[in-house]
Amino acid sequence: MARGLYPGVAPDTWRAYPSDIRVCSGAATGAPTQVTKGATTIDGRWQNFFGTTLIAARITMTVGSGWSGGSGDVYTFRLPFPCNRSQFGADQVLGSAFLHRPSTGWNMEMLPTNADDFAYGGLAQTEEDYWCHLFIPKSGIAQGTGTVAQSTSSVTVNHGLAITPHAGDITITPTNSPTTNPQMIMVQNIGATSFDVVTKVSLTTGTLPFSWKAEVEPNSTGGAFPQLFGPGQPWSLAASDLVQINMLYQPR
Amino acid sequence: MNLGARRGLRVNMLRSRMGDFLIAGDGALTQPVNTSSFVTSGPRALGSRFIEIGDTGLVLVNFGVSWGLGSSYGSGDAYVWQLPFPAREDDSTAMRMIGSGMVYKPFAGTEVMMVRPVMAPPFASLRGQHRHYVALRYRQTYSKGTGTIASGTSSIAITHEQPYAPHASDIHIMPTSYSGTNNQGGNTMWVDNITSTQFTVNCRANPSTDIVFGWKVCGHPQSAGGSYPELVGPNKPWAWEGLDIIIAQALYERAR
Repeated sequence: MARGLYPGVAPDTWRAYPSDIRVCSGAATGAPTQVTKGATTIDGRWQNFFGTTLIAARITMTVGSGWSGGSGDVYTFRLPFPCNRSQFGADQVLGSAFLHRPSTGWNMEMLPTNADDFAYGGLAQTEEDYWCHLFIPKSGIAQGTGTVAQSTSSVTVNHGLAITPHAGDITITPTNSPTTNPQMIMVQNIGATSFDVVTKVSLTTGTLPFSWKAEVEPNSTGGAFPQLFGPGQPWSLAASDLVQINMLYQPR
Repeated sequence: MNLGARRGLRVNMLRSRMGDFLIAGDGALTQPVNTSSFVTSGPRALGSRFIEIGDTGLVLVNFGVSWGLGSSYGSGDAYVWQLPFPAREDDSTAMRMIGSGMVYKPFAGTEVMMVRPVMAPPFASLRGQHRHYVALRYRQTYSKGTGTIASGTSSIAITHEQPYAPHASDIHIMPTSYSGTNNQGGNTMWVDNITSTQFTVNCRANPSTDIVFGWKVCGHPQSAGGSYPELVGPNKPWAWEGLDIIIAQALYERAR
């Protein structure tokens, strides 16, 4: 049965190849720590596109138990064949991709391009043509809950982001009516790992429970490559997270 | 030398083409001047490449712009790039999406925004030749900064750098410092006087010390912003600067 879009397209023509993930980094941030995959699966497939030498490739990574995301700047994924980057350099667009977290329903659109020749991670010289990396419109998304306790006026929240957020990136929504009027709810001491939620006056009676969310666009307060998918960017990968990449490119 | 992983692989299969890079619109417009070293002169695209895919009628094209320092970004409704072959125009009147791309500030804040290539709409300035061009659609804009309502005042005007006047609910204000002894700056802060360039942040009355805050605007294309506000163009989705990049890939069916 022909299931292709066009006459003559044979089904099941995808061929498997051993794709892989590698953490790379620039000279300023030093050698990375590679991931521990555990039960993570990385499924690479490719085929010649309509009989041409163009390569249609897709990579699906499903994070499994035992995953540890490593440390460094950028995740790179192995292509089935090296890419001819031509005059578009490292940022030649190869296709489309997304990152999905089933537990929260989050989706992040990503854009695969040729990898840079990073100082660390083994992608120097021409090796980088065998790999792609992924641009992200958000360097971080995180959310949670907290409570300013009675007789206090602040609580520290660990945001878990790889990038230090801007105050405007953070939203605080109280979830109960406080007995003591807090007068103003602020964020202070915004750092690489945490920020403080502060009320202008101490809560003499009752508590102030709240929900918080931070959405951070790439900025210069993070690592060397805040605009690229990497450890902690846009979030720290966990079991069941899904990466899907579709590409169409010219091999060299 | 055959650098490919398989025998018979041909090198440099995609052909280079310096297609026109224009501003299109329904009203008066001026063309951009890109001073990038990649560009020989005037409004030209960063070396687009294309290939016809067998006898399918499909064409794969990579295109973009790398803005040079000192470029001028023109005025008008949308940037359009000339395709190597005109696109087939079927009975779909919508601007069809045909690929993926991004706008990127690699140095000025390292900002990234995803965009989608679409067939160019029938701009008056293209005089019926819109099938020869591709445009880019964006979804959202954002800008952020800090501000202070000084003690002795009750408001501050913020320049938001958005392409359009944002909606009030697009604006997020987060206080970071206020140690005043009164509650006038406290519970209620609001925005008003929202224009295409500014908004004003207010507190209820004169605070006894400065109120410092962070602000962020996540805006969307606005119908008040001229024709086709959702398309990438001069000052959309952000104010362009030298070294900014627009880059995309499209797969489309050529006219036969």
